[in-house]
Amino acid sequence: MAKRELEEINAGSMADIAFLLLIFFLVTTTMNFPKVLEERLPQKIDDVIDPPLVKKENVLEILANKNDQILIEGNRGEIEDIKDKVIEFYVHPINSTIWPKLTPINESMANQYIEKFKVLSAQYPDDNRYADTLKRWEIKKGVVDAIGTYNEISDKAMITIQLDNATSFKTYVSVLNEIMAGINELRAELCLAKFGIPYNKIEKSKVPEDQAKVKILRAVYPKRIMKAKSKNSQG
Amino acid sequence: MSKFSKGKKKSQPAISTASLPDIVFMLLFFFIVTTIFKEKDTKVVVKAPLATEITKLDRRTDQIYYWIGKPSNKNYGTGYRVQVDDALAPDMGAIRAYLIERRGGDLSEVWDKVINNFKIDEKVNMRIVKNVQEELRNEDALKVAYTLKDKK
Repeated sequence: MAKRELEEINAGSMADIAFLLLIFFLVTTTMNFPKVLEERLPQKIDDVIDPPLVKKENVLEILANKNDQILIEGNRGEIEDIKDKVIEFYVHPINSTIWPKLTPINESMANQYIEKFKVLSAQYPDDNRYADTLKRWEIKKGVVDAIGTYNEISDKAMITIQLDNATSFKTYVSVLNEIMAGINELRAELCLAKFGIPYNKIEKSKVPEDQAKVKILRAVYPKRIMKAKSKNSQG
Repeated sequence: MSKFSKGKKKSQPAISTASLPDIVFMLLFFFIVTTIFKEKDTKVVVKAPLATEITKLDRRTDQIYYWIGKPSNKNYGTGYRVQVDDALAPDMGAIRAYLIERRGGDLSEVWDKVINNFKIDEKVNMRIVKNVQEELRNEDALKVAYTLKDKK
């Protein structure tokens, strides 16, 4: 008996099947990534500690009440005013008495302190403070190496947001958004001036060199936002 | 012989469609790979506020979702409710219980890899937000992100 040849399977409908699947995935795919504003909550501390005394000039106080009205440094303001205040908070004349202290950092100064704290931390290996200070100066040295002499904002400087329990989420977001807008504008300006690239190109980059640049920009203009305990509105 | 002979028609060879399945399959695989199914079913209505300083969040990061808004189904009440991942939280304590369950017995879980993604209606007052975040702080889950709409 003659062997029957195996018939070839007709693959003509393969394309149709694939098309069908393709259309299904086309329809179900959504390409838009979620856009977020990130924040870090403060750590929970069990012991009640007295809040450290802060100088008034080191704090940019923003207050939003139950009617979503804004108070900036004690004066009535609009949401749009916050950005300019934030920029002023970081960049102002060195001898200003109403804004946080700015310290010019240069290379010889950084080297000097690094030497000093290297010796001290070697002398007292048990005391973490010296090692911490050394680490901080090493970061500053890195910044100076990258962008030259810069004005460093006091490490006690911070922006506080005080909310009422009845403040709307929308107001909180706009306040946070405006603060970030100010900080991002400063970082973008510095980024363009020193590195010649737009900040938003490297901000979320995974390339180590870009991340190093972002770290430098963040060291010059640190984001220090604190949510103060909210008040209860009367009535 | 003229160039534009109207006489004998020379039939054009049909375009081969043999490679069509390959092309379609290629596209198909692309979409299969990029598709992420929306697995969460929202039970509350949220109108997120607008913002400009927002960044893209990689969807593959480990996230816990929190929705705060009014329930779409009136049977769940008319006040603002909190939905954590899949279920409406009956009270604030349930959020902490959920976090503990999610973390499991392993105390070493690094919450730093988990982003707590909040989708909050713009009219919600900060008291509710604060109360939810207080539960997060109790469990040391400190990374928070607010999903907002791009103002453009």
